[in-house]
Amino acid sequence: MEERIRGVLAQHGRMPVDVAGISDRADLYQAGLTSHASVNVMLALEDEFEIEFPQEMLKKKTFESVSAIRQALSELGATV
Amino acid sequence: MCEGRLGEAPGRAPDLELLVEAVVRPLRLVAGPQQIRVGVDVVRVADVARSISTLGARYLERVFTADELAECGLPGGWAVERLAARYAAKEALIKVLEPTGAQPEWRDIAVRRRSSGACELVLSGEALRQAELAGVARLSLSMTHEGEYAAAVVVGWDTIAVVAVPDSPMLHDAPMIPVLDVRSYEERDNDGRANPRGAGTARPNAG
Repeated sequence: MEERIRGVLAQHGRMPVDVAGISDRADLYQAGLTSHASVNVMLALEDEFEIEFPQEMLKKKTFESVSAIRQALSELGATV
Repeated sequence: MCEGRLGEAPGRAPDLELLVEAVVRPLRLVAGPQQIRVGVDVVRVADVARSISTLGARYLERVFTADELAECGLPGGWAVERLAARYAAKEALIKVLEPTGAQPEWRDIAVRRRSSGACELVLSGEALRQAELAGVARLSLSMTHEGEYAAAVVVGWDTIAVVAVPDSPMLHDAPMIPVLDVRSYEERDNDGRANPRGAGTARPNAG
């Protein structure tokens, strides 16, 4: 699952760092993820994992790291 | 006007005029401190254009309301700089709300162009709920775009708290503070009607 998350981040996160090189717990906002890019990441994750983020999960913490995204996807029933 | 004393007639409710004289008259109602919240955001127009290109309707319909899309549509395309400014306005509003939990859906925050040409924010759903919770009573919006960037500033005002404070000549010397003179309330006739001098309504004190 992490690799697919990193793939989405690499394609839609528009971060100035190599996503493959950051740890699962690294702060993505510190790494350059903007609020607008996080919208793109959210939509791309929905497409990739065939889920939909409910309003309750629209918070910065949901997308702050690869592990946080994985946790959110697991809660939404996304499968590898 | 104020003959007798409080408690003079056992078993009777204290005279209203005496209560006013003893309790209300020494007080003035003044506007309490009002909190102003400010949010600002800047967006690259190219980022919005890229989102439209890569995610298409999924992006547009998740972030913008139908009215916003109608206002930003062009024959054969989009006024992307206007959409970018509207996105910035939504993010600026979220900064004003400072949500402690989840933020509102973007479509709960809508930019509407008035007939005058000026734009305003219209909140609904979770955005409206959070604004009410935060005590934000009024919002002002300013948006701009120039070249690569679009930006927006949102200012939110809390509701004005009116507090009673001991009357003081200092309050009379502060014309910029809207002071409501409660003493005017007692200038009513016995039936509670305002007297011909126009008293009976809280009036601004010009100092």
